[in-house]
Amino acid sequence: MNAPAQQLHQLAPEIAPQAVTGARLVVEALEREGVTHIFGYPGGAIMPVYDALPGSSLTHILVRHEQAAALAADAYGRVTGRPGVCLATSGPGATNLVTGIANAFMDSVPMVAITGQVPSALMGTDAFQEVDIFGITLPIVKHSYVIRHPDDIPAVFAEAFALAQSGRPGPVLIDLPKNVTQGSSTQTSNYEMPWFGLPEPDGRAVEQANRLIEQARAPILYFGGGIAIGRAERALRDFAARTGMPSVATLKGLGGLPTDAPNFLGMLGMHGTRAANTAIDECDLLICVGARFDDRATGKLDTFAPNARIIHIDGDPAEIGKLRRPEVGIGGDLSLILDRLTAAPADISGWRARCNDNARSWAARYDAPGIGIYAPAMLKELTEAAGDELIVTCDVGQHQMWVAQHCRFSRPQAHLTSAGLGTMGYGIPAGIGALLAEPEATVLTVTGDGSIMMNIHELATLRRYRLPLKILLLDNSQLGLVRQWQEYFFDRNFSEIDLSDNPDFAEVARAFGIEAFTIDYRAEVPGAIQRLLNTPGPILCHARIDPRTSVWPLVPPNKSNMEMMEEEL
Amino acid sequence: MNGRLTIEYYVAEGAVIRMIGLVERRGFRVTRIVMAEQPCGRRGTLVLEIAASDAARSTDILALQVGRLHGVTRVTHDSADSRGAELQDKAA
Repeated sequence: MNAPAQQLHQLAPEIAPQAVTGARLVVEALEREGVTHIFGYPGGAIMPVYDALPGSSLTHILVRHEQAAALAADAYGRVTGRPGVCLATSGPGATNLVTGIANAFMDSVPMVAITGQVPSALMGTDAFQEVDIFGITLPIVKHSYVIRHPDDIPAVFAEAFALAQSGRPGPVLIDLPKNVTQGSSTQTSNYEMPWFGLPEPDGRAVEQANRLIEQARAPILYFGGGIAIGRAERALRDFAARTGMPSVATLKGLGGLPTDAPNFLGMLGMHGTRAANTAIDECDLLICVGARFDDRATGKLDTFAPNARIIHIDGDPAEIGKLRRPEVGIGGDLSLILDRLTAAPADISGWRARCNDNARSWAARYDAPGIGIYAPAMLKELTEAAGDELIVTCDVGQHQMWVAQHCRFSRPQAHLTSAGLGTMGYGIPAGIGALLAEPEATVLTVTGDGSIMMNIHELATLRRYRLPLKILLLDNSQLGLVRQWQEYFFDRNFSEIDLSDNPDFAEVARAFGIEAFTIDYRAEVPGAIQRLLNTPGPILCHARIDPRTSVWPLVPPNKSNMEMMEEEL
Repeated sequence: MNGRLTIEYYVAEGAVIRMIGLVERRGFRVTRIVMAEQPCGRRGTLVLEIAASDAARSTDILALQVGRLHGVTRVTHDSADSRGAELQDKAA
């Protein structure tokens, strides 16, 4: 056991001990943490825990593949801010969780992943379904434990949950050898919950940042996923309103400000708006809040915001200066810091007007010629019709970028996307997690014909639990984003992108017991939107779109954001 | 660029490989390792001499990344790119 957890264990008072199994302690620990839902799949080494589940307050969601358990737990964690919990057996059960754990790690999502393990005496002997999941996941967890004695379970679980959701959140793995869950303990569970907080912001740095804001003539607020992680949207919105400065968001930052907020220029970066990228290029002060100068946002880094002084604010001090050394770096709670940035810039009305004029002039157009379905327009109309309670989950590919560019988001939790890892197959499991986290929300999964096949079996989970997920499948019968890159950056050498032998997706959905329909024409879109939104149960709309459609704008790899390619009209 | 990290940590399963793995993943080659456990067996010290894979890698940032590992209590580092040896004491 880890030493901090060991200390906690020693704090436990001596109360009339009563022997319970390790598996029972696991269930009690989860209940104590307020866990209501677990996403999992049983198997040999984790069977003692499954044996202890009936009669508990925990609702187990039986998925059809462990990867979906981890991805659903990821979405649950993003929406609630509390760790999503996934559970799998040893060996392949554990390795199937890996993509989902990495997904949570890359996007700083609170998660506790629990794996069964072969008995301690067999560990290291290549036993049946033995795999070193602790070692495999070391690079993709915030922390991890192998529990060696049932007595350690309460303290380790308490510490794991605290770690997963505090500071910069992330996934924590707990590996449970079978002899530990089958063994018994007299360990009591009456001890304090540990907490690992953020550093107090440096007052001098805050003063320096205020001075830079006062001196700025062309400031830009650049915010990212840290806003959702830190639940800092109130402070962000106050700061944006107080200063009146133009703002841009990363993919994960979308929803930090409402899509239609004043002075919001949209997403920056590879598929960002021309207005956002131009503003970054011209600004003299860049206030980066909860973002990390990711290459998809910055393009060629040494051309990014070339004339700007930088204020970098982040919950994780290790992010500050990692890729771009700021003039002022402030680590700590984002809301606390933003509320202390009380300086106002001088008159920036001319700068603001120029940015807003650019945004209007270069706004996306939805008047594509033809009678086929134009996916950006459909997404815009759908999310405008759905209202503020909408949560959109998406997969990875062209549709993911169209969602980011054209959907309307009212809050950070309204947009669940696999940003860092780019996990095809995220969409439907994430929709399941989001619906269980916020049952009153309207949850829409936007997917593609490549992505949906990665976890299509989760339609069975939707059916089993009658989860009213609305699925919009944009089908171009190919791997569209790969096709687009091959077209523009690989001399049109189209290699292994054809998916024209896809199944009939509506038939597949119906075979799972899900209502489904197919549309081909623009004229069918309004009716399809109404049917999607008004159907009480799960439903899939299969929309066939033009395979030649690309995502615009596009910044070529290793180029400046100002070298973006745009659609020739 | 060469440098040295001195890491104080709680002894726990996987602690050493977690620290060394992080250093290598972040683009540093470990050229020398010295480690010791305190007599109590609960705390240890790991000294790593490291070489960056390219000039863009900062030991300042690496020290922060190591310092945020759970169970690491203190990181001291010294390198050509740091503004003198710096200390991070998580307990402070």
